[in-house]
Amino acid sequence: MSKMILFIDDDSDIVEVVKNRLESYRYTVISADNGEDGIMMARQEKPDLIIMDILMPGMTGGEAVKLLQEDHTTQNIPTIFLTSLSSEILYDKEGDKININGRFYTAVAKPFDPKRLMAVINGIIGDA
Amino acid sequence: MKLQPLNILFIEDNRTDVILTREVLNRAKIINQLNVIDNGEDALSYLKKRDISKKFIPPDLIILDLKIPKRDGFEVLSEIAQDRDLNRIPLIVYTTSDLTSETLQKYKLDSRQYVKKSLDFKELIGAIKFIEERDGKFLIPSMSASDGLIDDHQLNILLVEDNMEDVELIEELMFMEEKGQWSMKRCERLSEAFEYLKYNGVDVAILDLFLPDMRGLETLKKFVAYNHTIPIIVMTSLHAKQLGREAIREGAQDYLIKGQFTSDHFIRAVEFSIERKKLDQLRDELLSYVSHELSNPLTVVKDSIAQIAEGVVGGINDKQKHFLDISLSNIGRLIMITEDLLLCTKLELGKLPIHKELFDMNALVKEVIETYRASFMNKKLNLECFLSTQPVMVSADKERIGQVVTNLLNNALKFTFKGHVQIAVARNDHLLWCVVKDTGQGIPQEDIPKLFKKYQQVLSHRRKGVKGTGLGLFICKTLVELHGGHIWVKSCLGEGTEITFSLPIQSKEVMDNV
Repeated sequence: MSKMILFIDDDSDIVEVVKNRLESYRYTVISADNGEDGIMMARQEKPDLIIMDILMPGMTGGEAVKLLQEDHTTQNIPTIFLTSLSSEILYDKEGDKININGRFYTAVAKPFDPKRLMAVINGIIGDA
Repeated sequence: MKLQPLNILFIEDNRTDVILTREVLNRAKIINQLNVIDNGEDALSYLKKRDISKKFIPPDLIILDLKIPKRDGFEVLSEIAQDRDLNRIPLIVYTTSDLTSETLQKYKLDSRQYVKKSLDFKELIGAIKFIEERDGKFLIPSMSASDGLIDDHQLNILLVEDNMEDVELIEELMFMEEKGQWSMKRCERLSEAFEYLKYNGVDVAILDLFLPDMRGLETLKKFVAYNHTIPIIVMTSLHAKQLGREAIREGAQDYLIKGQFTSDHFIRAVEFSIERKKLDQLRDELLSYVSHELSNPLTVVKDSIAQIAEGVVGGINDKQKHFLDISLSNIGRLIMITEDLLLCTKLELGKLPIHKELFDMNALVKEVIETYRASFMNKKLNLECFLSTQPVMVSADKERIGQVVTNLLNNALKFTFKGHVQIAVARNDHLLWCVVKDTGQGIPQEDIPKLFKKYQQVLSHRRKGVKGTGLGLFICKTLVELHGGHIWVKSCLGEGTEITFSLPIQSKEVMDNV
């Protein structure tokens, strides 16, 4: 069975494009357009990787990852962030790492190079 | 009836008193034409001109200081008293001297025509009003009520100035403002100002550019680097007007020329600089907002097209692929422009952190060159690289320095149409230099000083069909300077351009780490 990626982003166009890209690399992709739904899906589906937008209406990516961290069923799921440029103002960014709640996560800045996103994903969970 | 301005002859040699008196008259809403003569001799010959010139219009009022050069005030008074025409002109003696009633009588002066100079100007205005009532000769034209300051709250002004005369002048100008509207903190040195700003907020800073601990435009640059949110008015002397304009280009909002401004100018400069700073900040926020809002759509468009071009969503023919590739390269440009704009905004807001790490400059240059090799081949340009075999270790922000090298190489590529581009790295114990040299079109000498300013290319090259935001070199300069380095250019029109930047190696740190 191929590896599963949960993609959480409120922009449905991004979700569709990135989903198609990831599927072309044979990953299974599920998605949510807000933090609350994303957390629920993470608990139910236990994906291999979560890709999360930071700035979303309602719960931000930072808040969502905090809840995922506090839940022992989801705390070991690797998470990477998609940062749009202005979210760097909210969080302390160092190179390609972003500091959220005192922990460093890999961050990919939008607009991202698809090849770089794939390389990052591959580096964390390997091929599909 | 249309009111004419009150035509006043002011015989006074003290510059400060002239400025203050003009202010007092304006503040009392007396519309006036103040004709200043700074010595007794010239004043008398002016007044006597009526004999030979039909155009001479006698002043409505004479205000006379007694301590004036050449012929003093008393001589002027005697001459006027003896002249049947002149002694009819209303006159006020305005002096620091004490006059006895005998003296007043001698010159046929009413005690209310004698005003002792003080910081309280009511007496001077009182004297003018007395004359108006007594003679009924002229109406005092009044100005309409002037507007107050923009906000109602008290304005906190930081004055960084070491010259006491200038300080006093500003204090006096402010003294005439309504009480409670201003508060002012004065610092003699830049370091003292920074200390004050640690714990206090100010609405506007008035900055002398020549201080004991810092001189010239550097003073302003240091201030902006320390705090980029405060509106700044720079004080320059009359012979350094150019400096004021340069200061505005370097981030000041306005400038005042010492001894040449009135309290109206002063207030306008304060209001203007506050409003202008607000606009600057809005512009930066807007840029930041727009570039953020652009990032999602750009991502979507870029990856959708990339997926079609790559055949991920089905087969396409060569012509379709060609047009998608053109689209992709243009989306790449859009992304670069957005990133440049945002980077600039961050640099100006001081929001760009520098993360230093130890890396090999030679390796970084090789990395950047690799990404450009194909573009150089396409343009049939030679890309020559001169790097030592030994690594050149430096402690700096690798991503940002990579950006500087990229921008320089990108420019060389853009402006060179035949020949070659060379890149070299050299070092000594303290510094490294990176040189990018091309055989391109070169830069006219007069454009070189403007080269590192923002948006230059937009202005000068747009017509020539070269694409870009014109932010590249501004970004290079700012990034290099953030590292404590320098960047400079040598260019010859038609022969080529050579841009060099230097970076401190920070050898101790490097040694420790190695």
